[in-house]
Amino acid sequence: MGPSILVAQHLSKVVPSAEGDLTILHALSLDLAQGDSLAIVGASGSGKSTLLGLLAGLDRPSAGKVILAGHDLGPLDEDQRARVRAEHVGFVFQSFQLLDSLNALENVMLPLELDGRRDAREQARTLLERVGLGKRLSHTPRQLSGGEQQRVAIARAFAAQPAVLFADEPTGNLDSHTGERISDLLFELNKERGTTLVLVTHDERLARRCRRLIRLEAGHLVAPVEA
Amino acid sequence: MTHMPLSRLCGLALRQLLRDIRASEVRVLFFALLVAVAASTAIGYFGARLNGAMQLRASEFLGADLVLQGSAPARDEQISAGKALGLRHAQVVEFTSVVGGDAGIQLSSIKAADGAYPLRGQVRSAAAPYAEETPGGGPAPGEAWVEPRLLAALGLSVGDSIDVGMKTLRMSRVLTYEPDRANNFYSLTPRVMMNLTDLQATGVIQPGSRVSYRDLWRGEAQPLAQYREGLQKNLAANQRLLDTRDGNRQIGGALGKAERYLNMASLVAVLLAGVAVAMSASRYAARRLDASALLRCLGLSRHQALGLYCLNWRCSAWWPHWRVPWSAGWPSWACSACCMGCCQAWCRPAESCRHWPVSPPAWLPWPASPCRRSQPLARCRHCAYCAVTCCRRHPAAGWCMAPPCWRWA
Repeated sequence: MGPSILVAQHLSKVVPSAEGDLTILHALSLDLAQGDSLAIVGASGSGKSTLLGLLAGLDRPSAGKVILAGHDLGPLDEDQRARVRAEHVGFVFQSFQLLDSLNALENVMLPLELDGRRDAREQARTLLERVGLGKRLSHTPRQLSGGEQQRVAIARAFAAQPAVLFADEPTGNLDSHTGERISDLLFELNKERGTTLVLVTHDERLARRCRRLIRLEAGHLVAPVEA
Repeated sequence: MTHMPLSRLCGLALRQLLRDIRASEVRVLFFALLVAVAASTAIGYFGARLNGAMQLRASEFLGADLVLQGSAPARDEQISAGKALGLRHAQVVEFTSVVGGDAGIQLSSIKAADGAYPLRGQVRSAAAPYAEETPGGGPAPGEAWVEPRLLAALGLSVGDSIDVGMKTLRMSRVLTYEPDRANNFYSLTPRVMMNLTDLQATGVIQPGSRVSYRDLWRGEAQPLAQYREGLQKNLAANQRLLDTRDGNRQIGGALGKAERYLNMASLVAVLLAGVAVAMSASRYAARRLDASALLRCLGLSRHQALGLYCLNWRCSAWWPHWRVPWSAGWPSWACSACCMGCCQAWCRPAESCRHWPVSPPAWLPWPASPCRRSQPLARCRHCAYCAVTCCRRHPAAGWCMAPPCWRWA
């Protein structure tokens, strides 16, 4: 494994509620090397997605700090964190989050266009061919199956060549067979491109494919596991 | 993505707009805009034309645009002030007097008018009672036009003479219609119309006589208003100004109601247009929430997102602008910018993660989280919620947007 790409130190998240402050994460620490893969598992409401949001810089911790690709996210404002995300982070969502008005090619082109890449179309086409959708370039998300949509989403996530890929329940909306194919694709691309993978899942089989696994219970890290 | 040049942002906005148009995303909004603007334009234009036509028609019931009426002749400076403004002038003197014929006498309503009378509408007369009417003209000096009932009362016929005071006038025609004939005391008795130049010779106007002097004016709205304003400052106690509203109470009332109705129709059209545009913009903005959040996830900053959507909407607002030239772009932009600006600029990336089962407090109902005190995630939801659903939940807010938009347009 390479140097650390993602470090969390004593990470806590507290939110106010009607009954008083509610602690979602309790002083959680982890260190992830470049090219590593981490699965976060746990019951619903255990804080998995909150942890993912904090690690990706989508939300701010109440205490502790996150260092992503050498950037301490704590002192950064929202726009600066957006810049870090643009340069180092990719996302795969459970519900794909493809833009309905764009076809598959344009969806994959989007991060490349935002980055001002002149070869956006060619890059997007290559990635879609890599995920097996070379003949579905002009199809809109409504014309694609769930598995195909997730493949487009994965192609989009890898388009900007992120250092860290965050995936939230990437197979959650798919049947087991399609989910298996998607996870194969995810790990293949992860290996090909040396991307660090952080995924939240309920799927134990998918979690076991990661090199590292952590289990959360009510915001506490109960089982750090090296696979 | 440290710095995105404006040209790239414009390119992205244009591409996004073209993709949206291709995907029918913005057609509903465009259609709502076009219908709203066309309806409000049509009603406004039609209302203005209808109002103008009614005003013109109503002025015929007065015989002029403006009348200075008094029991004494208007002062010279009052007349010269109107003529200096380029207004057309006519003079009428009305009084009641006994008219004598060979067979008897008859109390009559005399109208002495100069050659310019009437300034609006036309007098109609006939060569004999119940004969075909001829519009225009007026009695020449030495002549009188009389109503048929005077002929019947005095047993005379056209061509005979009558005496008005000390002046003998020949009844040359039968008077069938005068535009400013009012339903007042003078109209109870048969009308005799004579030329104003003969009035002095009749000798019936004496000190203390009950006489109505009417100075009729016609002209463009602006000088007419200027003249009216000047006159009102120094009207004598026995003088008053009449226009189409107060010259005839029934006509004025009907005109007022018609104007109020047209104004109300225009206002309703504007309100409906505003609501339609606000609703479609709100729908469009709501559908864009995920997209803008995704853009933020992909690393677009708040300002870049705001710039992208503002440019996108500026481009889209031009589209109806080309078709309905006077305003469509601006209301569309105004309404949509209110929704889109708030939503897209302040929507944080976590907003996209409704599919992530985020912590329970963040899912509290948005309005329950005050902007200043809530956590950032809840705050951005609150802001987005307020902007997008403001019109949906509080139609009055949507309506409130219409007048400024209209004003802006």
